[in-house]
Amino acid sequence: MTKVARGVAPHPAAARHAYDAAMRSALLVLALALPACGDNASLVTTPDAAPIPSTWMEQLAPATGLSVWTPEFEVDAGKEIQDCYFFTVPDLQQGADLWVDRLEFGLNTGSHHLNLFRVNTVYGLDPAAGAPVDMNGVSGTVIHDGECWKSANWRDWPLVANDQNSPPGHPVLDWRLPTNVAQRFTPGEKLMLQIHYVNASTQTTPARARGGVNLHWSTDGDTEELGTLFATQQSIRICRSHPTPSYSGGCGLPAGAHTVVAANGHFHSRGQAFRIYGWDGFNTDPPADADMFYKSEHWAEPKMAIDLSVPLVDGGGIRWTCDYQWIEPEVGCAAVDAADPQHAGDCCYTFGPNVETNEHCNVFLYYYPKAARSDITCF
Amino acid sequence: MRALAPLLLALAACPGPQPYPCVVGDLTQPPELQLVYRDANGAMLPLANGAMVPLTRAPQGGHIMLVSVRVKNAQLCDATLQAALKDPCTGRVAGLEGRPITWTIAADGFAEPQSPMELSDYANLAVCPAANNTREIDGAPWKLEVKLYQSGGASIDQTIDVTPSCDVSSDPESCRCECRFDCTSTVDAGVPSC
Repeated sequence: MTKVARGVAPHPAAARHAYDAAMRSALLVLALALPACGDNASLVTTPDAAPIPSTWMEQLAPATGLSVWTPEFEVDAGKEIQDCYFFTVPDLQQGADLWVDRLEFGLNTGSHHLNLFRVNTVYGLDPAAGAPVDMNGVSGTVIHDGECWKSANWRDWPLVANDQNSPPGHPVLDWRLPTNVAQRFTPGEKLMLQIHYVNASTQTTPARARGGVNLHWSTDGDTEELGTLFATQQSIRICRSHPTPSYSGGCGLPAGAHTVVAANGHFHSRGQAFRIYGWDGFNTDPPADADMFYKSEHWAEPKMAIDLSVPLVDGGGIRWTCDYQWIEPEVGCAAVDAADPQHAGDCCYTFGPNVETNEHCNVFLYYYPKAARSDITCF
Repeated sequence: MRALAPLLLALAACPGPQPYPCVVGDLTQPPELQLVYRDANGAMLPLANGAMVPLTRAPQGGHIMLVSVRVKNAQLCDATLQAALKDPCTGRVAGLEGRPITWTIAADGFAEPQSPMELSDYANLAVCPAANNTREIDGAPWKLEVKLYQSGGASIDQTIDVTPSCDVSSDPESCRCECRFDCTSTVDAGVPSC
């Protein structure tokens, strides 16, 4: 039986195009004007002259926390680098779990993302196959590019935390979890710190690249465990012939009362608006603006909302939308077409990690208390 | 040539180049919606009430149902397809996805997915695993709700009974595990085990 509804509220994708066109024009003017701004000029240095920024994180003493920082490295012009660093959670309390209630992320300018995952099933990305590396006193291994680009390799690796912000002069994001909330780690557990740097046309790395995280041990007896949710839309296409697509998804949490404390969305330069909404887990009508708790219109430095306190409906979850605007690729349509598995010849940006030729629609969400069924993935 | 006039007018109204007309069929007639799915071999097949729908391993993991529509007497410019798998007992949604479809006009006058072999012209309905699920998905009856949001705010809905199935998945054991409501995966096991 086919049902027809007439005159209901337009789907968000149908209503936003005029607004988007105006915003694109405004952003272009802004982008052209930014290089002329004097305040940032002194921050652009040559790689050889670039020390660790003075505002970088402080080294934590072992009793205070764990500082895991990658070595500094160059990102050649026109290149994207994605490296996966592996390290092990130390045993500091005779095998007892360690709790973290404050996370600091350090990212030199030019980073596309830093993701921290718990290693689970090993597919093509094997920590044991990495090269030994010293991460500021923490021994581990690193796999440069290669399998580190293939997201299917960490398809069942629970998200720990992420950061996408590395504005010039502000490399550190300090995230203090709410009172009585902390993230749990088990001694011997293996973690992956993945960083993606771009020094090409859509993003640039003006100096040396580096990423790291400071995990501060909780000492005040936090009892609520932080949970994470990672969701992604696959098989997306942003094509020249259909330049303003919108993709959306929904993800439910197990029964129980959950509160969202942080969130951020991730897409590439064709992304125009990323929205995340609370959801009752039943309603399939377009989400209402009143339920939206996150919106980002800045793909390169998307807002990492760390001050949220959004109660979700018991048994509900979240919905999200990713709105795109196709733009002429800086690298040319031939490169974009080459990355299109369908070889449609329509200059389609397709699902994948490469900033120049691919697109994403990923949700990173943090909530408490952690659901009994482990951390949540939706894809 | 006179018969082509409405088509040309419709094409002119589309924002940007369109390989298909904005209007398919006659908008004065009731819309017609036919559900289709993609089978394990990449063929597009009609999806009837009560049918078994294969679960396909998704590129980044998990198992998805690939559901789309054939449609007539509708506006397709900026149309968005949305599919949801619902618990028939409670109405709770186990998976929900919305996306645009690239259409082509078939000989019978229906618009249908232009690339039926590809995943991108189907709703990629991620249902296994589903963290909020409280009942089996593989081999159990569920409700499939499909909505086509047309430009201008109108929507066409259809809901049928379906049975998601791991039987034809490329990795049925992994699929069955992920579809169990109590599935957990183990470290370094190669494939998730329950």
